[in-house]
Amino acid sequence: MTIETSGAAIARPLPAAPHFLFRWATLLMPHTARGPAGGHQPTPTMSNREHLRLIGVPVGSRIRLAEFDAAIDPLQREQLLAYGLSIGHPLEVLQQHPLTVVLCDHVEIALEHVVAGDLWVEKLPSRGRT
Amino acid sequence: MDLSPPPLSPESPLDHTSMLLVGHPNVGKSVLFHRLTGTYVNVSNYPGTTVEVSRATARFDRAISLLDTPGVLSLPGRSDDERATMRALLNEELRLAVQVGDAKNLRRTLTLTAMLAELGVPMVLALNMSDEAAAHGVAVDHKALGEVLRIPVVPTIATGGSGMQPLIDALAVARAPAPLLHYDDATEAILRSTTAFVEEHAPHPRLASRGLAILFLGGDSEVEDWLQARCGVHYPELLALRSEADGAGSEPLAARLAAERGRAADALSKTVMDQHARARRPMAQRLGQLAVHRLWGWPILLAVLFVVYELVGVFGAETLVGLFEEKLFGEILNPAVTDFFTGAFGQGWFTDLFVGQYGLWTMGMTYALALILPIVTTFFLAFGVLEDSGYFSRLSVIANRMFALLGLNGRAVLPMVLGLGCVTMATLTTRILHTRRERLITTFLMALAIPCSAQLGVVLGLLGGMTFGGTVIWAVTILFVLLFTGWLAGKLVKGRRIPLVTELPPMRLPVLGNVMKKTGGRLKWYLIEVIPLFLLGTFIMFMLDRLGVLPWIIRAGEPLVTGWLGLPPEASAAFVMGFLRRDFGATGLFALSGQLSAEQAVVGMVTLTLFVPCIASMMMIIKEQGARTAALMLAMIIPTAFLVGGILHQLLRIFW
Repeated sequence: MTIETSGAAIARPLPAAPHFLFRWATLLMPHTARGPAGGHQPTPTMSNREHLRLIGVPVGSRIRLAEFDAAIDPLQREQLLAYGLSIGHPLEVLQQHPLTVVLCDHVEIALEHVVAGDLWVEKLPSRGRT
Repeated sequence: MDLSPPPLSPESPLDHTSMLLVGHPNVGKSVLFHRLTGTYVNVSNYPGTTVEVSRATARFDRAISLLDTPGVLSLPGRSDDERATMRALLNEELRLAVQVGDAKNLRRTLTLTAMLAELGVPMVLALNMSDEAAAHGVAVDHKALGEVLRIPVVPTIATGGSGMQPLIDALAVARAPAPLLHYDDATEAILRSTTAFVEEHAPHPRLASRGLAILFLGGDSEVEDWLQARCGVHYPELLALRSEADGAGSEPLAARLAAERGRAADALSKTVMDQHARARRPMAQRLGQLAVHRLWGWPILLAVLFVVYELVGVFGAETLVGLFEEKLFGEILNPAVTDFFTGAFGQGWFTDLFVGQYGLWTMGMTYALALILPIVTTFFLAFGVLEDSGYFSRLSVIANRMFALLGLNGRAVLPMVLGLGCVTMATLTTRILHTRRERLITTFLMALAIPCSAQLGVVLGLLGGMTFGGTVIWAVTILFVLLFTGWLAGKLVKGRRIPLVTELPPMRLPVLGNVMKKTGGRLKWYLIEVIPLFLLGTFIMFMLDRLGVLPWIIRAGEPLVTGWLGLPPEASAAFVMGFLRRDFGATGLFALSGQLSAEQAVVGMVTLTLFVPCIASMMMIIKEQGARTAALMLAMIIPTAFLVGGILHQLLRIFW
């Protein structure tokens, strides 16, 4: 399994929080490397693949939404659920710049990087290899 | 227990009541509304076209009043347009609802169905855009879905009129869907208590108490207001129930409720939908991606702007205006009307009132029909094509970074682009923005620095005909003012910026009929508003001239207009006209073009572009933001316009 954490694949998030430097650093890390604030236990329905932040996933990847980050605004999470971005649902990453764009049930959803950074995903095998 | 009312049989005809069209944004509700009523409401390929409830009588039964509602992303509602839909559900004498869903996105459609089922609304589900679903390899088993939900499910293609008769037939057997939601034991317990409370203190005549309880617990502000008004002194008990529930789980209650809707929709859609593999990505999707590409997005934007400029600024403002103003009005109509009045009434004030310098015909009608009409016609045509193509939503992605500087997100680009058509209507569209802060800043920026189509056309016509450099200076100055005041407003207005999350509708080839209908409808609306105001403005100018007030205003305005802005004294009249409508004032300046240097034309147009919004826009701002905020905006806009115009004059004197 490859963990995509290269700088080229990860967009710079907007410094929304005062501790944005810390936040920027955490965006570079795979899920299991997070500190106690974002402690994570994969749900039983999920596979044991490592989780990545959505902004770190290369374009063209098929992914599954693993969980929302604890830091996400509750209303934002509700909005994402309303757009169909629910846990376990497969998505395809179409773009990462200038915003992250994912294909969800044939609908393209554009997400600002600060939001995409709050979504933990796991990569699925590409269609050609399934 | 099945709480749904019995289905409507053919023997119990639909009587005197309302039928609601409800659904997610951009699923074709307004097209369906047009099919079912014959009444045209604006239809576009981006979310947020409908921001108010429209009402019309159904074609198939004159006793039924059909309501087209703004799209709801989710219930509980969070935005103004979602609240408008919830208000309609709460307050209308609702007999049934037609949920319009996107067939290729069944899962999302069913999240709303699940909520409507809890409200006990008798309904029919129209799975629209079935053709697009098929093109994407999506096959929905409508029969099986109808059996699970226990409601009629009808596939439709509203744009082509397919499925309309089966849908009308299905209305007679509408019924409340079978409930889909089942929460965990703790949530179900709190839901039962809240439902019992609502049932006891505020039962709704049509909507089920359990549905209202879910919406209340989820924080729907319309339902909160409705319950508060009916529960009276007992309302704090209801609030206490919610606080208790909120603190009980590991996640906020609203999120738990939303997650269950998603789970139920997910489970049901998997059982009734098949996704066939597609060979390759549709061309429209690839084109849509190019439009927001980090590199290709900008050349595409410039190409779009160039085509619009060629159509409006060159073909509309030069070729067509030349034909209308010089040939039709200048050589044929105006001499004929002048001859008629002079022959019939001789020389005198009455003849002057119609065909004099400030004549109702020679100024009012000539401005409205010979100068404005060709410009707005070409603009509305270009605008309609872009609207239907799905490009406008992509602009919000490209513009997001720039809008972040203003403390907004790219979604605010939609009202602003619509403002280039008409600022009045665009002010209403700010309802698609999520917070009061976003609406306030966007409304202010539109009132200050977004020229409407008529004004834009006059600017392009005047400056484009004189100097391309002048057009660029005008555009750069207006953009600078927009960004600087926006940045300042973003710092001063309290509240936080909401990051952008938006749906990008598919790129589509615009349908000529729809573009023509929209252009026709807009022109009709525009002329109905413009002609009376132009005639009134001309009459005021005529009276001011006759009473000797206009020469006095021109003299009084001289230090500001001539001294500070460096314009000829006659330009004061254009500013007086600008108080009525900015485009009327701009047209006045256009009429003076023979007396203006290129520098004066740029300064005059910049000042008039930033000048007071038209009367109709001010009324809309008062309606949306309140009189106090509107007055405050006006108090900031007028000095800003003259300040910027004066500074530009000084700079151009030195550098140009």
